Amino acid sequence: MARRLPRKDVVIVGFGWTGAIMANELTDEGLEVIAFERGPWRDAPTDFPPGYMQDELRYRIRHELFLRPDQLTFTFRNTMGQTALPIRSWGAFMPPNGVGGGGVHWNAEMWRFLPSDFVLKTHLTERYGAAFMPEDMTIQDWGVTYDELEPHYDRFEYLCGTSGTAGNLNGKIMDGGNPFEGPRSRPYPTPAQAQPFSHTLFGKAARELGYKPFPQPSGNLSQAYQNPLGMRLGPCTYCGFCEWFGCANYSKATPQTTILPYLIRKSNFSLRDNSEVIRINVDRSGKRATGVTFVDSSGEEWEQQADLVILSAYTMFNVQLLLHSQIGQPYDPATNTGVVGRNYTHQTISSVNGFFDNKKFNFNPFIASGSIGMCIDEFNGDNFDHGPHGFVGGGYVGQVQTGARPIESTLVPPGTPSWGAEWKKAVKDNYLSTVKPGTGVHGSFYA
Amino acid sequence: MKQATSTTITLRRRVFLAGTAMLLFSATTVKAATIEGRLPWAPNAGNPPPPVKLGPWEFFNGDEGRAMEALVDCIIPPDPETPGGKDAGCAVFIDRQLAGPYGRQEGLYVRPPFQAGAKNQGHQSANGPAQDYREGLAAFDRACKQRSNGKAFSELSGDDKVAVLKALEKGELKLDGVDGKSFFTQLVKDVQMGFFADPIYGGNRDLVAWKMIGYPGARYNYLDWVSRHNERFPLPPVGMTGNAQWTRS
Repeated sequence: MARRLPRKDVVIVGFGWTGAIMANELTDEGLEVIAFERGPWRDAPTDFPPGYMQDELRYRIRHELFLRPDQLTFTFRNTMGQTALPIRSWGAFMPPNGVGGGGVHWNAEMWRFLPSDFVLKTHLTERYGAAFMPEDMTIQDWGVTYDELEPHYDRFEYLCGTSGTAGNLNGKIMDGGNPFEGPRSRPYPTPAQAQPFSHTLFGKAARELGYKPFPQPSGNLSQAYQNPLGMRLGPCTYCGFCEWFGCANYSKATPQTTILPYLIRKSNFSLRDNSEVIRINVDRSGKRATGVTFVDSSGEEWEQQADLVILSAYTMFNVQLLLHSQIGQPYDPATNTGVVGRNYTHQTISSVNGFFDNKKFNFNPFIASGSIGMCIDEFNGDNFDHGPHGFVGGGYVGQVQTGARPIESTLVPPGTPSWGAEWKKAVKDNYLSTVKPGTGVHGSFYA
Repeated sequence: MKQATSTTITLRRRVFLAGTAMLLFSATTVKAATIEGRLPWAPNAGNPPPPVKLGPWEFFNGDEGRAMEALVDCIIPPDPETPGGKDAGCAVFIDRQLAGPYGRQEGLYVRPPFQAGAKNQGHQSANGPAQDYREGLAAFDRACKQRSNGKAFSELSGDDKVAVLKALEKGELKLDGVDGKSFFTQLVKDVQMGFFADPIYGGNRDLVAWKMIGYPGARYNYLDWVSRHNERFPLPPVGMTGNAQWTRS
């Protein structure tokens, strides 16, 4: 029998960006809020200080800051006909773990959705006709429009101190920004980051081809900034250890750097780490959540009652929790019924390597931030006519290389042996004059 | 459906317990704690990686160690400017990795059922890296001796070593009970990883690999350099524990 903790107004499940924002808003409303995070407490001084966070092996290769599959994993299959097998070690898909969630080790790319993304089904149907979309495509409009969300985008960007160049200020197209973005009510709170050499070359080449390159909006800040909650961030030092890594420099917008120090001082907020919610409890009608059951690190089971249960873990875990709690109708792709788990999609990235003449080009590719780079948006979303192409969707194209950590960034030109003297010479000859994955296309899947 | 759900939850609880007990670098907060009022902070609460200690093999036996030193020097041969895999410590790196959490698959999901799957479903065997190396090196030794009149790999001439590895890479040299091609691919990956990882882990000794490519290492601030385009960064590499020149006279 689970022991009970004193009742609260609100339970928050998962303490990343969403959990931190919800906790801050709801405590401002005077509600008693408790948050649960299955992973440990993390912060720069103890978990990723500048003395040892630049460790590619530990953080990137061995996944130090991510969920351990032996704590929780999924089964996986590509098609319904296959037997789903356990994911035993993470590949491309890597769930975060710990206070701050993915917000600790994200790139901090801070794009807004395009206005058409919010009303995608309506937009695509109006432009291309209903027959253009495949029958098994289940996309819908989001139910909220860009204009409705704009004040919240603005507020989040000012919370984070986002660095960028506005492309559309209250409807006026601005030189140097993204002309395809929706109208923004204010400029970015801080100017765009400086761009290293290869990123600048991409911008120049794109401009010469008639495109409109702009600096990628970044949550790694170009200058010192104090946010509306009084949190201070420092300028990014372009250390090249951003995504997969925690920022030791208080330069990356994370829940820890922008919200938590403010939130934690409120007497109506508390947070339990290493505590995994295993079930949402419901009343007899099955229609109303009454709280959650969680397990702490000693295996003890606890019940936390609350009026409001907020699922703010990653989508997959929210869905898993709903399924375990037998709430809602599970999505069945065969019959296209049910809502829990419906329309889950991930991102798509494709990239190219560019090998340049090392007598003419030295990119110092290790100098970068997590959301550095010059991009073009001509091929994103529905920014171009898909009519002749027979597909929908797209992505930004850019040189957004985030560093050159040597285990993963010592590439050799095609045709080079993968080991031996020739390989060694090719690595030596190419490291400083090569642009690497990160250069490419980053887009969305439509379900 | 109901039964499956409760089984899963029980399993997840157990999994959760095992998981928190074995965090790879023994994370800072293993016990569940309530955080309120102020941010957690304790003196000396950091969790730096322990440097590997030089000395005898911790995972390999003598024969395996000799084979590995010969292998790493073929995969990364010495040249007049930069040492090869052996002197750079790549075999030591792999030895310490296999003797540690990586070799034991700490943190990974290694429970049954084990069933062969599609390539996209990833590694599905109970064997971890430690067992793969033990079995792979043993099978490689048998195959070498069979091919070369009883000579171990480390006793072959330089050209013969390269020929053996090329045959292994192409799948022409078959290993008994082991997928030789996959074993070689993993070996190459691990050797190169050791060469380019921070020297604290045993490879990249004296930062030789980083010097070779022009990577400045565990530095933290390039603010003065981000806008200096197409200029060679002038400072030598440093590791997490600094640079040998800082401590040697």
